[in-house]
Amino acid sequence: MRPTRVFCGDFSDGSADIEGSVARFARAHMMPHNPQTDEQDEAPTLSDEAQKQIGRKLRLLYEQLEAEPIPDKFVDLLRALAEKESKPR
Amino acid sequence: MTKADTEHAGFFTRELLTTIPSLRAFARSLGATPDRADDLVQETLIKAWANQQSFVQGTNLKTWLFTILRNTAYSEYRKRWREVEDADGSYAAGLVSEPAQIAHLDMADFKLALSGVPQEQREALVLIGASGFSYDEAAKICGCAVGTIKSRVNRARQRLATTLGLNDISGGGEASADGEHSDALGSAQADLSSPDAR
Repeated sequence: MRPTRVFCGDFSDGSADIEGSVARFARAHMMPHNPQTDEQDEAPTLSDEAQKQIGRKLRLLYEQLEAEPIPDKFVDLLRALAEKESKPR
Repeated sequence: MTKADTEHAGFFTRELLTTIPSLRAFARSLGATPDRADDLVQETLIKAWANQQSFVQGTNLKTWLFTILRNTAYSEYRKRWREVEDADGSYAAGLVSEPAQIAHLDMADFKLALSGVPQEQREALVLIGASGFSYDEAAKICGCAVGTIKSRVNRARQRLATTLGLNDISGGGEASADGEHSDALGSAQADLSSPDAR
């Protein structure tokens, strides 16, 4: 059984591998959202049909939300802002 | 106020008005309830009006407005979103709009699946797949690299496909957002055990 080592800045005893592994482990688990992995593109495994279905439903949902009438308060707000600006100071 | 100023103000007002439906839809897609979405839109309009001098003529006003809304949303609601998101199905409920004119059962599944997609990925998917932005514009809005947007959109689609059972992959069905994560875990564990094995 190996004795437990505490890293004190010296790699000469061959513990570099262990330290490296710990660093890799920490990178993999403590910083899962680092930009490096964010940049990587996963291989596309979605079928065209699946992609189409998702796209269609997403647009449908969004269009449904967009189709709601603009509340009067927004029109009033914009009118008030415009009037405030056009008034001489 | 000069005549040109007045004309500009008129143009600006009209543009803001036409973007409101899309801004509201985006806010709702981010997970805001209808009331909160309207608060966000209202604040966006006020900020946009106050800062119209800083809007660069000839650039995309819609992109600018979405950026303002997103920044407002993140600075004010990030914490609250994290707290409430998916805890009580409020996200899916917030997306329900009446009257539901479409095949509602099918869409209910989709809304639920969408609510399970992590915020950043969902946002990227909505900007690209529904709001009509290019990858370049979406990257500007989110303040990140184009590659990051592409990756997030891919992962969002993958997650949705898995949740909705649209994947035909047999065996390796773990190709979801967590795929790379568990791979990393596997290799790290292998690395850790290797010194002892030697």
